[in-house]
Amino acid sequence: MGYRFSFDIIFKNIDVLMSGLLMTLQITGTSVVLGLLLGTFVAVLRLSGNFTLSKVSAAYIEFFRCTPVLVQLVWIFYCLPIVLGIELTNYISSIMALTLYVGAIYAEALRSGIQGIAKDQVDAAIALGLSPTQRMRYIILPQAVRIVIPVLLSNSVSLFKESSLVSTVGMSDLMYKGRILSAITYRPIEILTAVAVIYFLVAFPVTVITRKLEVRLAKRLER
Amino acid sequence: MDVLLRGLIISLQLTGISIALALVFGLLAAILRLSRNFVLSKVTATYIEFFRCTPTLIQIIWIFYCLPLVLGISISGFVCGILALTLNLTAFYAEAFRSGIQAIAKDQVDAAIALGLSPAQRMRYIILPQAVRIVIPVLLTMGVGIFQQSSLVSTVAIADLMYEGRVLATRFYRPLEILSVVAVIYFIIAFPITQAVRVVEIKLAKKLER
Amino acid sequence: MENKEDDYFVQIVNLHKSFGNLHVLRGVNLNIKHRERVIIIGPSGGGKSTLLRCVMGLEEIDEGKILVENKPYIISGSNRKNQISKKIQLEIGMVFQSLNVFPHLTVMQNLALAQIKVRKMPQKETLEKSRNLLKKIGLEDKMNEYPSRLSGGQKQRVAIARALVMDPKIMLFDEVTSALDPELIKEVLDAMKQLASEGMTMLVVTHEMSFAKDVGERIIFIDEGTIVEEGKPQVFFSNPREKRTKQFLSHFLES
Repeated sequence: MGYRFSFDIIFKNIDVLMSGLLMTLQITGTSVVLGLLLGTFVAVLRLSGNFTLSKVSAAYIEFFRCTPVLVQLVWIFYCLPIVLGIELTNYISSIMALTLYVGAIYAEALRSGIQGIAKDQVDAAIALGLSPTQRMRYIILPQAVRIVIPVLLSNSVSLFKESSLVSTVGMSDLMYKGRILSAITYRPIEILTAVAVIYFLVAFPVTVITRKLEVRLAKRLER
Repeated sequence: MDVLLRGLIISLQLTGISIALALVFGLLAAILRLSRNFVLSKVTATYIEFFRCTPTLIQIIWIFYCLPLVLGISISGFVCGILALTLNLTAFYAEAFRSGIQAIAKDQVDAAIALGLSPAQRMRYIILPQAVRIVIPVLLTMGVGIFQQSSLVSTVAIADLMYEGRVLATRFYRPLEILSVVAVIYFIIAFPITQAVRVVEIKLAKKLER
Repeated sequence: MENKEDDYFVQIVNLHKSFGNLHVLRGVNLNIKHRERVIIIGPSGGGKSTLLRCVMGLEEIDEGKILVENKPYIISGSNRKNQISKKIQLEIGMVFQSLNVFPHLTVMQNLALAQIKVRKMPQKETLEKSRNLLKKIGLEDKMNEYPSRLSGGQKQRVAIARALVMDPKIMLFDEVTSALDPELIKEVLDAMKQLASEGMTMLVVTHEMSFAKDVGERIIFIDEGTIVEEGKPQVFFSNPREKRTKQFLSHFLES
């Protein structure tokens, strides 16, 4: 079966792909920001002394980590409107699903970061008379955040990749545009390869930076 | 309900076969990645980075739509799923094995060299036995991850749990009940394993402390 | 009485080794006779460990050569690739500062591994030889234990036995007691003394000055990559010639 490659089809449609990429980045970015807020909040709840709060937040974290993102997305898109009795655009569903998902991931990362702060520092803070909130705000969180930044970064890269799932609920992201284009142009190999490469060109540099950060952080902690 | 079970079996098959294959090829890739041969190392590294830095969805879709065209043969959906998931997981396992291998303290390798063990012997008798023990939690966690990712094959009409769930949901117009059940099924399988991983991690930490 | 041979056993000629910009070994020349016990002392970073590691073949040398019984052992090559005789390398044994017995193998397995895999000895012979050696150093009862159950001193003695069971002609010791708690040091030094009395050629890097005086036949002081001074222990410790040697020794004599 003859298949003649014509890679210039990519360049003819590059603006379409770029608009998809823009949407992907927008969705990812929004979810990252909201997810960080949510994750921090949940992590603090998880570590709070309150049994109920701790268990509820743990349940949330475990559920969103132990189910596929696709299932979460599809559920929020199809089922949540039924439960809440309101219409949800695919944009809102996407942001919601991704935020809830990455929020759980961030919460776990922050939790282990917070628990990693040496107990003797907390002791010193208590001895100085700082309240729990003050301890969290001035002693624990600043250090924990510094430690977990590489983890948060790599989780964000994962989110960037998972964002491709919103194409299944009709969001016009890079993946969606790619699939439409490859169907229209009958050139799946060129288009889909280009899509893969574009994802790679965004994800890979961030991954490299994350690794360098990890090394630098490890050195700093060794002193 | 048995429709869902049918789908679940497919999902588990996809996951199980991919894990088994990825364990073998991932170890192989890690060793190649660490080899002194520049070409082998770089080629393997490229493969690993590419499959780790692109969405699993695009990998599945590419293999499903493009690979048959490239190779000029038709490939069944199930095989596409296996191929995509295996290639994906192998890359992640390779990195896990690699960091496990590199974690084996340099002084042990020194002692092995001093005793006259060849590189292959060092790998086989000193490094790997210890590295594998260290990375087991990571491998398990990634295995659970690929179980979740397997739901993506539903987008190319492979009849896994997710696919059957969506089909049922539309057929009976009951998305809420059915999709919730689907979510719960995934959870029931994934959750115990993640808990087991935690236990293993703690046990390993205790062992290393002595 | 030592048997003084005219031919040197090991000859280190003009050894240079750098790590990046750091020129650690700057033209070291050292000749070791059969059965000689050479002790190397010096400040940290002076190149002592690096020297041993180069002799063991763990580091690539930048310049120079090492001969064993007048035959080429390591010759520096272009592009950081040395020519090294694996056969001769097997005749050299080394014990390290870190207690690097293999944690996932029992004591017996630690000793047996290289014999079976490298020397291709049959299992029965290997087990017997290992057992006898363990008996000699008094660790026979720990034969089937894992290293995690041994004390630091015991681990280090296992490491010595593991190297010895390969019948090396020369043993290198790299600060083998530095990582041990004080009360455990003696048993390791005693094992080394026993080895010395049996006529093993030894090259020892150590901070244990009394051991150096008791066991050493020649003391070498290395600082900043070169041999600053060497001599017999009686002369060396009581009447060091060089200023740097005096400075270094004064830190120890004070304690």
